[in-house]
Amino acid sequence: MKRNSLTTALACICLTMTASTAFAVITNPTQNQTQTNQTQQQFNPTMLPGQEFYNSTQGTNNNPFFGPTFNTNPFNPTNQNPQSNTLPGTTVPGTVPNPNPNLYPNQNDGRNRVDTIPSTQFHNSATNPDQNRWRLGVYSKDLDIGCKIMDVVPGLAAQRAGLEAGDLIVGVNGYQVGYINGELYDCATEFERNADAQGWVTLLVQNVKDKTLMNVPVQLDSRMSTLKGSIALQTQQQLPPNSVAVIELREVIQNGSAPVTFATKRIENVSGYSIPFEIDYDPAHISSYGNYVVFASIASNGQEVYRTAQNYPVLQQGTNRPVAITVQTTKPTYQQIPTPIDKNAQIAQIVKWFNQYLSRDPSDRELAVWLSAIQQGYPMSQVQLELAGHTQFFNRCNRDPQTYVTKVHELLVGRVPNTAEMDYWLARYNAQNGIRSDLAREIQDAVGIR
Amino acid sequence: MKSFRPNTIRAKTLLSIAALLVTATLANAQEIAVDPTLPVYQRVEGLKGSITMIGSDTIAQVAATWADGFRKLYPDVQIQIQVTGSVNAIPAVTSGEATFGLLSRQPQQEEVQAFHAKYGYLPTVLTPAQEPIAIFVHKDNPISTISPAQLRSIFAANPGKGLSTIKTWGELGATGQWEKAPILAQGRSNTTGSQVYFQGLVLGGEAFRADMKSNENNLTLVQAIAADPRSIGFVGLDYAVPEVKPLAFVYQPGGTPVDIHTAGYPLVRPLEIIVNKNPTQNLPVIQEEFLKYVLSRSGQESVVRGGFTPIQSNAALSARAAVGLKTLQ
Repeated sequence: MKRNSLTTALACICLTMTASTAFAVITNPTQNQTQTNQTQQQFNPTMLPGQEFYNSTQGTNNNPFFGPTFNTNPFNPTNQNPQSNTLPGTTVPGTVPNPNPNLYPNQNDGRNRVDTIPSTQFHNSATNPDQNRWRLGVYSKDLDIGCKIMDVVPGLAAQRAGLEAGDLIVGVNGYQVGYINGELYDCATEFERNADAQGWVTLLVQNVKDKTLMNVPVQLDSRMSTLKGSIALQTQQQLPPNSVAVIELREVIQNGSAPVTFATKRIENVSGYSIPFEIDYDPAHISSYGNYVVFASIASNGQEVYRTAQNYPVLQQGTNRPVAITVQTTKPTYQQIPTPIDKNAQIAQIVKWFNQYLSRDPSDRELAVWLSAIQQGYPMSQVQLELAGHTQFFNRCNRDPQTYVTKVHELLVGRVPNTAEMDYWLARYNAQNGIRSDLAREIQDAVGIR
Repeated sequence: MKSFRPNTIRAKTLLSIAALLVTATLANAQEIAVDPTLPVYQRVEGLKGSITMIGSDTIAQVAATWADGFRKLYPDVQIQIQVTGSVNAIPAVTSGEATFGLLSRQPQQEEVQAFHAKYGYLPTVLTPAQEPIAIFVHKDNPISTISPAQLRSIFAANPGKGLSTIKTWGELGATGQWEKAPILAQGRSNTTGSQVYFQGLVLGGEAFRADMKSNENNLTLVQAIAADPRSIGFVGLDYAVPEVKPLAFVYQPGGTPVDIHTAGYPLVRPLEIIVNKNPTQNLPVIQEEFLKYVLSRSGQESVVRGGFTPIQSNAALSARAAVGLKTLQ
């Protein structure tokens, strides 16, 4: 049921409030008070502002080493001790009636929602983590009784569903939100976990006006927008077989400085003279005064063969019009560092540098963030730079500045420094206030690595 | 124990083959690097000013990559970082010398007290990154996982909770020549930050076993494990050397292993940013924007590149709320 108006919804509440099944909500029974209280003025160094989340998750309740669930799965709900509660404004002490128990089959077996997935796992069922992301369109505050809506953004999902400031979101598809046993379960994560393919979720909401609970089906807005366009070849030549096109959305920060790529689309096996594309981006990146351009390149066998010769402005002042761009032949390059388009060569290079600097392979997570960084416009030399600044590399040098300078010099210049060079770079090391990547950058600059 | 000497030769050919295998495997990896629900950072127009960060070497190196990324968005912003140790993090914020303090241990009462005495409110402590603490054994050790109960039984003088002390590798499931081999516990001193942290988290404050070997620093601790294959010890993952390996974590023996490089690994030590946030006022815009960046997906990718464990969306939202930042949900 999509709620079209508040009146309709309130009518539904009257019908559904007769359900007798109890819905246990973890909350503080005495007061409606946020756990992110930052106005604490009393001196109490055991509860510093900003540490509420960690004080709770590393406290005894959820500590896998020393909690009540010791020797068992620490996230196993059967050993949790959910508190009974009362939402402010409700009249039933200890419990809150579930207005539609059929929607929440998992809520009636006494389980705490913590059990469904270890809280430290990322919840993402989408094959592409950058897609299928959802937004309700509210500014909210997490409380220990739910997630209170502070502002509703006009035109977005929350407003369409009739939600308003002051409403309290208690659950998303039956999963409680807010602080539960001191740990934060935020709406954004529950939207990602629970929204269906079209973005539908059912929120359990306490109406600000009459404190009644209602089920509110909401179709969330996609966080992603799509820019459509086409790439045309300036020449009438055939594309080589197995060609790959990469389209990037970039923000031009300032004339003279490198643009920042915030969305990338890769299309395999392109052919023909005109290549249609759709590139998804997060509108949160876009501001009305930003300067955005689209860039495209086409590669074959790891070698770039075409690229855009000019900037094509897009997304100007919030508009999203299709863009037609032209690519022209790229002059052959003889760089040793792979072109940004050759992903396998990039991976091989990153693995090689990890082994040189850290004597190990990158983890999957490290490799993923490096590929992401390179997609965002970081040069490959940044990998070397940050590995030179990496704590593990410094540890491998016995945390000794002289050994460190020697190793960095060896890796970047290809030989050990002589005495004069050592003196110079040690002085520079000290001048950098201990930030090792800054020293590596100076050495890179000195030998012309870009 | 001649049979336990580690093989320190790492053939280049093996390395090359391993690299190729990794390349082939990871080329198609769909690893989720950071929590996809972390906020995306949106640049604002015309931001200028300067930020000074002072404190711990550990977190300063990550702060340098935050600074790099932030300056890329704001060429007119100056960021200075001074590595002077955790001891100076809160005092530098208290004196006003630092915009943010960088801390890799718990705040101490006298530091907080001095801040409170000057400002009348408490310093805000954000946790934008976590250091994974590895349980290292020798690379030839057949054991690959460890549970909380096993850790207590190995390291605690009195494991309690119905557990008995584990003294040999055979008690952890090792067979053959390892079965009767004694477990050598490698540690630091009782006042060392990482040891205090491990004692609190894993042993619940119980004393360490009396025969645990005390090592002078983290480097010598890892070297001790590399030198004697019967050893086990705990230290930051960044101290890894090729002769040792980190154990995966299991919640109970036989359970699903949680690799140290993944989000569910629970042995992590918070790295902290100290903020001077007056509860009745907003932070200056430049501070708000920098913290938004640090707590965004981009900032957390920097954390991974620095070798540390990123935080999740809910921790980021909690931290944002603590400094008065609203988040569009």
